[in-house]
Amino acid sequence: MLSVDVILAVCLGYVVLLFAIAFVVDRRSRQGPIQWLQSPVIYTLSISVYCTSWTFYGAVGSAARNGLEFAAIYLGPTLVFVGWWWLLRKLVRIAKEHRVTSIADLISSRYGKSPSLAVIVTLIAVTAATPYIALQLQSLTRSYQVIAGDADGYTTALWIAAGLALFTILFGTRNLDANERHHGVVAAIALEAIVKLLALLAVGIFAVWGVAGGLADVFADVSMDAIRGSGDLFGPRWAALMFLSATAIICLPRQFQVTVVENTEERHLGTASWLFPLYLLGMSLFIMPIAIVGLKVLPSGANPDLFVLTLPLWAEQDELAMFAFLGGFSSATSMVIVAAIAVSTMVSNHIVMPLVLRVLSFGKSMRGDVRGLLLISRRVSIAAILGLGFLYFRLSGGSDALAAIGLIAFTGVAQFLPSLLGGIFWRGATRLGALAGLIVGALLWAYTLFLPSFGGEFILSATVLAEGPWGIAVLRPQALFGLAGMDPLVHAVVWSVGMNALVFVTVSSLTNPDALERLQASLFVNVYRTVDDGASLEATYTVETEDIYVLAQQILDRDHAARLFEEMAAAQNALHGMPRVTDAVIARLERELAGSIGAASAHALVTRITGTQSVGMTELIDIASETQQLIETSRQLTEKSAELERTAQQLREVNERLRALDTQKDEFLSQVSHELRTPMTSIRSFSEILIDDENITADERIQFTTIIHEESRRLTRLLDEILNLSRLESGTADIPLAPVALNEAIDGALDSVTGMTRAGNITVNVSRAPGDVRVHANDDRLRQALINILANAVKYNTAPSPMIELRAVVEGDRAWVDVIDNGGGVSREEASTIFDKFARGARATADQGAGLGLAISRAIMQAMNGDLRVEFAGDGTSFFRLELTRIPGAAE
Amino acid sequence: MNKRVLLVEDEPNIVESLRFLLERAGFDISVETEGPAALESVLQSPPDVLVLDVMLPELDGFEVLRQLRANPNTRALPVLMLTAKGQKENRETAFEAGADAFITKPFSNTDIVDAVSNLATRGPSQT
Amino acid sequence: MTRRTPSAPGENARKAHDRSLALTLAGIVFLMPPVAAVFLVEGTLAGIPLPLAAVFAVWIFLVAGAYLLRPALQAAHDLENPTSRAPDDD
Repeated sequence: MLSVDVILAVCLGYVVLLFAIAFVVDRRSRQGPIQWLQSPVIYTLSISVYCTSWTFYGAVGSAARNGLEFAAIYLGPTLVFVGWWWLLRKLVRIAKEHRVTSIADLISSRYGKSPSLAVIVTLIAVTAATPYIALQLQSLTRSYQVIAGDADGYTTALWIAAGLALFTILFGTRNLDANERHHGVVAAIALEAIVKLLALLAVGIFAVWGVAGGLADVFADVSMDAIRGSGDLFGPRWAALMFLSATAIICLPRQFQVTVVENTEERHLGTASWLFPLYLLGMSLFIMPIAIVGLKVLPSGANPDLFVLTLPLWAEQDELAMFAFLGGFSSATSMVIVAAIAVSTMVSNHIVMPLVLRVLSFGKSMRGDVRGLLLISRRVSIAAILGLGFLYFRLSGGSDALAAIGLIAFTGVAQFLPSLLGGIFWRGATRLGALAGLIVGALLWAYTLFLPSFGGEFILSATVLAEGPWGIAVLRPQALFGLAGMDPLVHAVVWSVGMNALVFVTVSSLTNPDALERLQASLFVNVYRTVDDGASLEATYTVETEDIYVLAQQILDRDHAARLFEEMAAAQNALHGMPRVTDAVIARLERELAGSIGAASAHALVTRITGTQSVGMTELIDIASETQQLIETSRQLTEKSAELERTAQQLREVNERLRALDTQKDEFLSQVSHELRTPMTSIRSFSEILIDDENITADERIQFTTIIHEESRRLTRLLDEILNLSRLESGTADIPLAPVALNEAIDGALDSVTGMTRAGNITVNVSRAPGDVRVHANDDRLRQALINILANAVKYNTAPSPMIELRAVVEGDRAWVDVIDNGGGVSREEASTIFDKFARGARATADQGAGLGLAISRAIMQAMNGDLRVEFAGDGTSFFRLELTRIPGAAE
Repeated sequence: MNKRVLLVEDEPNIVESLRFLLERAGFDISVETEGPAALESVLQSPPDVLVLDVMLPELDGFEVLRQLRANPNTRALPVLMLTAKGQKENRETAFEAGADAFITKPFSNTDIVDAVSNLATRGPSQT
Repeated sequence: MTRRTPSAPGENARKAHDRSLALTLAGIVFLMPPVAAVFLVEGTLAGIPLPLAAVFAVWIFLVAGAYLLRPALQAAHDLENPTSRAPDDD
């Protein structure tokens, strides 16, 4: 008998070895790829996680009870791998192109990235995996109990579960990208694969040649019934087992993980196609002999499920027993580790993360946090799955019910098969079809197989099992609709998988896929038909015109799409129907779509649908955010360009103004010249007369010199005004502003023109501002402007009884002085030019100034933050309005 | 009989000097200060020489001249244009409008008397 | 699958596909009812009961067949995916 210390030491040593290998390989692989780890042999060994403790211990038990039947479990996968070219290769290709992380991801991705499908697949996977993990814990515990005689199974199981969780979290969640291989884990699994194969072979060889006397001796007195087992070999149950195992090698989450997700090269499948069946053959080779020898030599009542361990122990081959125990340990642990990684990825990606992200959806800038979150989510999921497995083991009391759990799990995951195969081979499969099929299949599986497996202790009572719910015999879980007398497994497989497939196909045929589904269907089904070296351009498109038409309809409006496709068909000289898919058509479509959804998205969509390049979820997200950025950038650009446009407009306006100013300046100079020449003409002419003519009379001389004098003064005045105006306009005139009493300024100005008004016999009416209104102004300049306007009104008033009205108006912070006369005013056309310099040009006479008066007045008013303009009263008559800023607070 | 000169000019002092100069040179002078009145006067009793200022109220000198040239009766009337602007364009505009001579203000007394005398002796232009 | 003109390598590839299909179908036919039931006869082969021997014989046949077909299929694979051609690994 082995001492517990030795057993523990060996176990611990083995575990340390596994950790060490995983650690070293993990660390080493971070510096670059490890050549031998990338080999197809390692790939094949990792696939051997298919052989769990259920194989290692259970296959012998099965053989002892049911004869050759156990072989079906390994022949199904053998056929799948031998026929790798037809199914596995396509799965691997699709998974690679679409960056699939799990079987749930694959199915949901195929059916338009449906989250609900992912959740359902994940739930089924968890339901199937939990008892399966519990089964591994049970075999570990039982084998430990057998070899060490330790009674407390739960503590052992708890320690094992915790250790496995630690290992899986340590090496299974190193990196987030499911496409990256878990190098450390793979290395450890590969070692375990070798250990379990060698252990089983060793026990087998010992049984055949150590205990019995060779093969012939083993089978010497074996009856045909022992080979046949209790069931009928090669009958329906055999077929069901073949089907289930063939399905399981693809659909079990852990198998999908190692075979499809962790595949680095499609070529490796070629090696695995014969090496993995060979491995299975090796594992199965001595199952029958061990069972037969065990039954023969071990005391009756010994558990056949532990023959692999009890046979060496019986023969007191302690080292071999230890080796066998390690083999069983390897089988169980490798399964648990990979299953935990695979299922936790699904749980984390499809259930935890969507929930977490929804809860945290406020944070927009949590890009950095997502990684950490994802890691935590994975780790928690791993711990939860192992915890669930342990809980299940604990609750089920380590009963024998667990023994059947392998096939129950197989049948559970077999529900994925219709959606999976339909998804990659049948374009017509729809999301609703898959959803309906999966739900129906899962419910039937639970009702006919999973729940009855508890033997009437969980949900379905024994009565229900025997008599059907509410005594309805037709609904008996194991004889549904009267399908009695059948093996329960076959019964369950027929009902669940059969109905699943039927519902899947029926609903698919009755529903229409949406655009993304169509697109994904096309990409999945035609995954090989990518751009073909450009050999024949027209043949490279895998997409049907119908598909791109539907896409176009989704994005453009119906009529637009119809018109577009008619045009394209016409361009190809097609008399009716759809255009062929050519480069031109694709390019045209992309352009049209770009108009609606932007170029980046259009390109992504079109490349996706044409299958010329596949885009993973990550890329799609990138595209989406890129699109967002593009939108943002283009918005900024639009703003920028609007700003530029505004600036350009301003520049144009400034330029216009400068041009106008330049023209004005030229005109001004030309006018100044004219204005100066006029008095100069008289001066020159008369002075020449005075010089040349000696016969002029004294009167004439006085008259002429008076004119010369007058014109000289006019010249001076003109020059003064020009200078004045120039200063005002350039802003260099010094006009200090101070509070000015408006009424005083008005009175002052009126005083100055009294002489003029009296001479012209002009009536002046004044309405002063109410109270003491003060304005921002320069007293002298304000008076000057007022006098100018008043003088203007006096000079041009040709009415029979001339009258001037002066009116002060106060409103808010503005104060106005209106000057109204009855002299006819100015027309609206004149109003726009009246303030131009020399506006009165030709009319200017010696006593009327140079025509700069209004211009100067306006410049003065504007220099005082006021204005001077011509206003029109309601009856069309015009008046001048001087506007000023009022100082608030002054008494009214 | 003295040759008759019609002065069209709105600056009273210039009119004064021109009247003195031309009367002294033996011309009969009549004066108009606005374009339309000048046109009317010319059509009623055509002078021998028309002295026409450019800058006139209502209707400028060029326009007056154009209208005169458009009328067969006054097409050949000798016209001397006076302007305060000395720019080239004005000279060209004046000749295009059909002026026979062009003098810029301020002018030399001799120049203007000579120009008027020339036009008066030459008679109606032969265009 | 593709519109390549039949050339020697393309022809070989197709043959490889066909043989792989034939092998898989043979496995299915011989290992599934009803045909598999023919092995259910008394008797031994080299001391091994006939059903057992037959099943393992078919199994070995499948492994051997897959082993022999692998180079041709991988060549076909490389032909279709020129870029993924690797030096050799096994």
